[in-house]
Amino acid sequence: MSPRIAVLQFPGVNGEDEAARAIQRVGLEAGIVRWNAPPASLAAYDGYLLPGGFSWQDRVRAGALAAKSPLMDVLATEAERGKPVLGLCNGAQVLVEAGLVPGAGEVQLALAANRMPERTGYHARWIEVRVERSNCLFTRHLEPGTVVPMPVAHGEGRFTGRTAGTVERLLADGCVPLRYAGPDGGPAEQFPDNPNGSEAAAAGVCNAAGNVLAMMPHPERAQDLGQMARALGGPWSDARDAWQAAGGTNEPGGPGLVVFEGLARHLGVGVTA
Amino acid sequence: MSAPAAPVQAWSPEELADPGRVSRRLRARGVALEPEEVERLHELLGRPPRWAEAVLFGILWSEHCSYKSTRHLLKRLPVRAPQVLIGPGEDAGVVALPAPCEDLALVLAHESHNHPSQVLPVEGAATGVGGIVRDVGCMGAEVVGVLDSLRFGDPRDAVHVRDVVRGVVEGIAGYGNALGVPNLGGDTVFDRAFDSHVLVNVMAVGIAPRDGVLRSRVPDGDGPWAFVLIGKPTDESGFGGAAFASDELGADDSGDRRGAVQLPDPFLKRVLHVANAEAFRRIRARGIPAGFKDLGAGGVACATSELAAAGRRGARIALEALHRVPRRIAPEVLLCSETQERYAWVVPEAFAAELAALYNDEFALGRLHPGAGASILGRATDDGRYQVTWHGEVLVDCEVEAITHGRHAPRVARRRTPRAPWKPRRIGHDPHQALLTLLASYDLGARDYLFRHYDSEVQGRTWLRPGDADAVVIRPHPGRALGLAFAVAGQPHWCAADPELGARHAVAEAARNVACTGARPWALTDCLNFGSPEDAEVMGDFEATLEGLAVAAEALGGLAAHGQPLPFVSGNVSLYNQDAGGAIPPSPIVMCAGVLREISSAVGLAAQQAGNFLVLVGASREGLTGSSYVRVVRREDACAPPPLDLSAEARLQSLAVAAAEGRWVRAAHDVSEGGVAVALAEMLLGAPATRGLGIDADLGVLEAPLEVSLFDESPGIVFEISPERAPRLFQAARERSLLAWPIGTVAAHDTLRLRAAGEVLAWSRVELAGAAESALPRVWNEEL
Repeated sequence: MSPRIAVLQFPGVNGEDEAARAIQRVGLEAGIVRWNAPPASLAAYDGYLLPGGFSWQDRVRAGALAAKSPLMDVLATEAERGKPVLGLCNGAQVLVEAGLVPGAGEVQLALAANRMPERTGYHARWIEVRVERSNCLFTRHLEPGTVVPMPVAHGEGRFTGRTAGTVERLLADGCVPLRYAGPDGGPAEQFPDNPNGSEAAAAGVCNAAGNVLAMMPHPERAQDLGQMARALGGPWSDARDAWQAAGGTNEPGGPGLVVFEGLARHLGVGVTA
Repeated sequence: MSAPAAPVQAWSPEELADPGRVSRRLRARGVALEPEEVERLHELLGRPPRWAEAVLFGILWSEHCSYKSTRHLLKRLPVRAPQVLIGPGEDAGVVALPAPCEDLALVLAHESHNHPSQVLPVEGAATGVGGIVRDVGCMGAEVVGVLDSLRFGDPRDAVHVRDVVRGVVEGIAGYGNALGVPNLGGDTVFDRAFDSHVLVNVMAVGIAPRDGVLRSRVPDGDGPWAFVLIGKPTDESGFGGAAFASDELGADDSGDRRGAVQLPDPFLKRVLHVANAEAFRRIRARGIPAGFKDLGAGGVACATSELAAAGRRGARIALEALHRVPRRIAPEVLLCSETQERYAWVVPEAFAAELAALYNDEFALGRLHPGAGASILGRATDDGRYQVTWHGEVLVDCEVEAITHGRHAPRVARRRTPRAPWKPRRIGHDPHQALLTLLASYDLGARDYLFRHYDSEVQGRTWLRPGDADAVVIRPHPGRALGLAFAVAGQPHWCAADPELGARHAVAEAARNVACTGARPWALTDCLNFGSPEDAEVMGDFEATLEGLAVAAEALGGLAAHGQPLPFVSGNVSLYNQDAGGAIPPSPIVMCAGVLREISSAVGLAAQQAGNFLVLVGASREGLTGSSYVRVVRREDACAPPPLDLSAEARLQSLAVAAAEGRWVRAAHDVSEGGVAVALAEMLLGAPATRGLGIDADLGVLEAPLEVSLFDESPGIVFEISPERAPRLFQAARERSLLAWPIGTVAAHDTLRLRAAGEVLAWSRVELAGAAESALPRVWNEEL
């Protein structure tokens, strides 16, 4: 039997189905676990995914209520034992609020309101992330500097630290496996390539062990090569154009699957997509 | 908990002598019955109505619910075609899909939420989205997208217009993003005619198993059948909303009609939809017959009576069982209020307790929202009577037939002479500046700033999003090749000048936009936004509009089924968009849904590769009537729309679909507002900036004066095609008796260069982008 990943369905999340699909596409099994399931039932899974959405209506702060859920206590224990945990968008906000990212038993980071010129609040667009050197199990199979397109859609996605320099220090420690990329493939400091003003252009932050990743972009919404935004250039878009022009058979996977492929490799599953 | 005693009768038998006085008194208490309807209701019941009955019939007979002024005219629209499974009449229309999705059905709904959005833009637009997704959800479908068609006032100098724009966008974004339904675009027009009457049309699309579509009626068979109400606890919000939507907005209305606007809760709706999906799964797996309906205008009363009436049954509703907020509310208000996020099931009594437990215990709605859940309200009967009681006291008791008895309000219609075409009086605008002026206008400027507020990617189905192509394209079933395309059209300036021709253009453009992506136009929905039906000229325009919609739809259905019309499967009429200052322009808004057999063949609008040819196919460039150039650059009345040859239009769409399905073309873009010049600029701007693409075009081949070749808005499509494949496109155009002109090539120089009538014009990409992106951000950022 393939390893099983639990997709946590807090009330108000809305990305659970496409997340489950991405998990299945790389040869893993996915099970959606509702917020009021018995917490102990979580322990049987081999890994965990916290999908995007608006858990508990973003009451208090995005992710704050879900972070206090009894399910998260079990998840913290299993993460401590080394099981993989992936938080996407609202799921990343939950992991940060729960203190699982960057870890060390306390809340060191926040996902603050986006900082954007001439606009406020929720912002959705396709961006590119670049892979940084780290031991994060979701990205360590990729060459540092690899650029991967995928969408972002959030109002609070700016990684910032409890103390100045926290995010830079995490970057130096290899705990920022994904950063927003500019047109030259380097880290993006400017809007809109850095879509929210995130410090150190951080798009995803992991714990020191590299098994828990909190990322704001949505790799699960970039599963198909054909679904990439037309306004993006680069090698993935060139590959899409070539595939379409060649007749559109033997559909390759989309760029976002690379994150799930890292999970599958870690769990010893050959990637099928 | 007992409610204040309601007056037993809405009027006395003696008062019937003066129905006008009764009507006025009822209106003061929020019940809208015309004098003639007071008499009609008295006659139907054989006695004066109880208060709750007057409220119920006031809503059932409102324009919003009864289409009393327009129903007979709507019969003009073609609604039948082989792909139609359920046409107009239910909450949503349903059409069959071809392989590889022949086991699925596409569910489409289209409504307006105009009046509420003018009064409270955020809540009005949000509940518009909330209502339309319920219309699709109650057919047993998963909602896979929403579109919106917005008609705003002129934001250049009006603070209140900017407030409405920002509020409506916030409302749509706040609801749809949280609900987890992707925004699939739509269209936006700005015009002074909508300064005090915003139009917010919303469309929702869904996917259901073809053999699992739910109907809004008590199922056939013995039952016994129970009504189960689910969702938010009922309160007084939205009481009288349907009557509100059927009245003219008075000058002081933004103050005292707010109680009639409903309160949205996308968080609760999201969980409700997850629970509904589980309910759908169970009834399908176990073959349990069920009816399902959303609660909209008229609340519990309309939903339960219409479920009963559509199943040719009666009903007994025990209203005291309804889950509701813990405060005293009059029972007739509970019966008819429009509290959001509610649905009504009708299921076998043996299943009712399990169904209620699904919502109350398994999904524990009450732990997410105080008082939310499910309650079993009563049962269907075979006696043909609809009866509602409150702790034994009768609130409503009438024949079901009285409820289904349609209302018809005869209206006088006066057709007017359409405007003549625009005649040039002088020439002499700098064409270089003219293109920049057009791109920098609110009407033609880039919509990117607006789209960024919306989540178009949630559910992971989106392939071509707003701005990528002339229509949005999604993959309804992951893993299968089929694609669906959606586009919206309706040009108020053209409809104002010539309602019939403007309506033809609306259908043609929506279908053409779908065809540009390579999708076959498959079905239409519409919303007809007009002024008061008591105004003869408004009704004349309405008749002309229906004629135009029908004629165009009859001509453009052949790509779905040979020789068949493109069917209207769902729609809505919004009247009384009018005040003392006059009516809005006739505003039919049309959505076209299209089908791509292979989504990988979907065509975008952006230029792809240097060296490819650009070919214009369509009508010859002959004039500037109806053009944005005349209106925006010359600041003149643009008069009649350009002519439209529907036979040529059908052939043009057939060419676009053949070219995409055969994978000959690399890009396709409709020539519409701003003509060929704006179409080419948009193709350039749509390409990734990093590719550095430009366009070289020589419009001399069009043999027209400079401004005409640049800005004529006659129908056409610009295709990008490789030099090797271009002969096939010309051959296919010839076979269809279509005119085709090689107008240029994609270049590698980041510039738009146009040659025409001896002049050479050039714009850098930066210059074009700067103009196109300048307008919309001002609405959010500029101090007036």
